Amino acid sequence: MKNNLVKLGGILCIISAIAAGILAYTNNVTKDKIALAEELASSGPEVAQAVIPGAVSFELSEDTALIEKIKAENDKFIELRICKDESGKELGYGIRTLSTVPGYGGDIEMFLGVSTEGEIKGMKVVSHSETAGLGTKMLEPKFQDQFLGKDTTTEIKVSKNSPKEDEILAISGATRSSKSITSAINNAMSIFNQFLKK
Amino acid sequence: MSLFSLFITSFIVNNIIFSQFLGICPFLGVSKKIDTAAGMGLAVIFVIVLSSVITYLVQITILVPLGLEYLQTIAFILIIAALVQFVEMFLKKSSPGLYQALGIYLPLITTNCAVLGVVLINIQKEYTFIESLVNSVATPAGFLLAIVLFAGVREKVDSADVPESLKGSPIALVAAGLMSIAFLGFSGLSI
Amino acid sequence: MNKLQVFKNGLLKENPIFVQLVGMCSALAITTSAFNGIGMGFAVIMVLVGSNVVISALRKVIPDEVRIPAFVIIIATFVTIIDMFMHAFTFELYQALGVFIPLIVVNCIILARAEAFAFKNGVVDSIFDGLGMGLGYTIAITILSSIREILGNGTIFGFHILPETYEPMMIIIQPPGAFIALGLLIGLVNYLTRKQKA
Repeated sequence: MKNNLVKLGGILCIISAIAAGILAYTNNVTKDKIALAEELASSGPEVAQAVIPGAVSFELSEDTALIEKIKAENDKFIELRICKDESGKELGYGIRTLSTVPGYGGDIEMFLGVSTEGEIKGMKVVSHSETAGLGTKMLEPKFQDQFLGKDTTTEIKVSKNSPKEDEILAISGATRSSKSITSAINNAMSIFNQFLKK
Repeated sequence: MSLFSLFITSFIVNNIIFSQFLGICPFLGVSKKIDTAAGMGLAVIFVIVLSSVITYLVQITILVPLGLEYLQTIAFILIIAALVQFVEMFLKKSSPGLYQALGIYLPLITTNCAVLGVVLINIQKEYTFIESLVNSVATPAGFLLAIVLFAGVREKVDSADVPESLKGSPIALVAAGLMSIAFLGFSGLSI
Repeated sequence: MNKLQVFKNGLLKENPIFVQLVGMCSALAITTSAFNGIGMGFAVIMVLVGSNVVISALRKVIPDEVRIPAFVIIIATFVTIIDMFMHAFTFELYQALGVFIPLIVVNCIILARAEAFAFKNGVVDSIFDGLGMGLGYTIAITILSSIREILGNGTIFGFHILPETYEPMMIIIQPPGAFIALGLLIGLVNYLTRKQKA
């Protein structure tokens, strides 16, 4: 009886060991590609272009003192990137932040592109769990273009119909997603106003 | 997010059945009578709470320090399978009536997406230990609520005059859909 | 039964979604766009065929008493491999399917086929069973996703096919729509099957 248990346990252990070995190998083979895919999705040229059109350089800011200061006061802030065009001129900032109000599936993480003069130039959502076909409408130009050129000194609100100057139109049936991404944008704007405005 | 609002969110706003679609198979399979449904719901709560604690500890003490995150799926499902086996043996001794009533559905808790789903989401959403615990109690409580309510509805639907093609699962799914609309109303709730 | 019959079995007579009613969680959760439907179907086919082959090849070696844990280890290994590959090579689909990729491990279809077929039949037969069931599942969820995407968004695979004036039926993309659409679809399949028998 005991012999049988040992044999059963032993076979399971062998199978598990082989499985773990295969997975370790696969992990090794794919992990670089995975890291690359993650990086492209969060800071590749496509992202740079969406954040501030014309940006070819999208490097992390090297002002560690400033970064620490922002992190200490804003817990939704993630990173700051400097957008430069091909001649090396500084176009503005890519401010990466989480939403302050969660969407349907949790926090939305995004870059807001703010020019050095304080104008919203673009954005790119880096991660979200909103419903396909509904909340994901927030990724479309039709929704995002509403924010372009808005005054960065006033908080933007979400309206369900006929938005005013400081409001944008919510996605029909996806108010939570709309409010969430707007909160992220507002947070990025307040970071700009507090720390980056010249 | 406060613990209370996390509880309410996991319990009804993002209800595991009507919003997250985890645990559908037992939801459809064990909801024909209210008391078996309640028994199943309680068993699921027990398994999920225990699995969350163990998988969370395994994640932070073994998988992450050793860089073995890719073994997460395998490790978690084996932990769950072992736990369910344990629950089965426990129920057989302490509550044979419930053990008989749940029948094949008891070992099937292992393949209940809700269990693996909750433990994976705890890690994915980077909850603290306390937050995982709250989520792990609230979520299956939502399962219990959903399955008991549904069993009540089903007992009525089964005795109604339904077109032949819709009898059984189709009409059950439509009924679940209507209940889901009711639960959608909670999505405006912000605490 | 011959290989072709084994294959066709999974498509119609014992279709996992429409007849056996297994694998429902994913069928409801990710069927919000046809692209997601096909993507998930493809992942499931890979795992199903892979695990069927290995389990069938090892059926004389795996002791009966520990077959379920053994199946689970083998299936979980394939799921993790597919997860890593999708993370590395199909990043957008990986993000869209989210937690439902690792959840393939508890998709009852795979365990059911391992227990009912692969453990008792040869490797080649098991390949055909895996392909048939996997394809049956894929066709079912792609039909469901397409219906939901067309009615709820006016698009299919991202292409607009309904006129711009079509007011999308929002509810069908939201959770209730999943239940109702699947329920009515199964009812329709029941009706057609009964008509064929009569």
